[in-house]
Amino acid sequence: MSTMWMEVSSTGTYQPSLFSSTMEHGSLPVDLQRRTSSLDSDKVTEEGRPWLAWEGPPTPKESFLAFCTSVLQYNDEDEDDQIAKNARDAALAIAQGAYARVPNKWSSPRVATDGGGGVRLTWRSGEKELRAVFPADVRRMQYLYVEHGKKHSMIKNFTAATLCNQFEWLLSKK
Amino acid sequence: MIDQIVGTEPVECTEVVYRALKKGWEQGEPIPSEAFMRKVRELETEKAVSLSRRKYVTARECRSKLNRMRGTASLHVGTVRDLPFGLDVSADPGRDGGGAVIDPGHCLLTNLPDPVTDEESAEFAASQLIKIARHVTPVQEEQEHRERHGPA
Repeated sequence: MSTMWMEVSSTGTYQPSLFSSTMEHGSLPVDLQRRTSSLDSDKVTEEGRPWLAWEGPPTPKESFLAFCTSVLQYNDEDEDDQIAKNARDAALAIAQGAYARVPNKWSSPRVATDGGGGVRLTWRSGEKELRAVFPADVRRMQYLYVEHGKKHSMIKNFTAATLCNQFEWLLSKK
Repeated sequence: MIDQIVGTEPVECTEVVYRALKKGWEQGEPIPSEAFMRKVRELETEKAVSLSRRKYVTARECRSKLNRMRGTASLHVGTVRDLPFGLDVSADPGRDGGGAVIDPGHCLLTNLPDPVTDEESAEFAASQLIKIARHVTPVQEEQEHRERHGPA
């Protein structure tokens, strides 16, 4: 989603306090600080060359950070359409696990809710579509819905490893 | 006040209905699956998805009913009824406290699978609806609104 990229590059309002205590902080805060500091992006310029930071599509790393920011800031936009904390944490934990395993295959999904606090992440490539759903109600299992043309299947209670496998499938020509 | 009869008549197969698209959707993006899924509330779900009948409501009016709607998708009712699951569209005009119809255009997309008890069918049904839905472009929206209400 185009707006996600703009949010990260222009504001960089990541707040560690918003991040779940159940998740490893890892390099996420440092990465975001670097992205928004003047150390890197403001000074890598040469006469006649565009700024590297504004050139081309986002890298997988930039895309992942934009995704995290998008999820963390989602509730700021509309008080009637909120992501529940446990659904948000589950989505971020799975996404972080998947990104850690196959960083070069990461692409940002579309982020939405199910209308009741759950998170819906959607990846699409041609006729293939992958939906990762994290319900707000802890009694319900997260699931992956996989669709290719008229064929579809579902994987309940999936892990980051499963999501990685689906990224491979999404990018493959099968 | 609008006549109580208006809006209660059955929705014809030839009619077109609108579904407002929420935030997170951008112009040019595919219509999102959640647009055609019943909202989940705790362990229960809403019974149906709200739509608007074009014979009473323009795409712009449909989008403007709720805050922060970014666009509108249109569906032919007959095509909806041709899909699996027995999907249907039924009149459900909005009424005031006294029972008088105040929103004749409101209708419901019914028989959608329950996303709590049958997630896969709910996702598949949403996919089928996405395939037959068309995004109403800003130009089309403006043109329709002008034709219905005249220039602003």
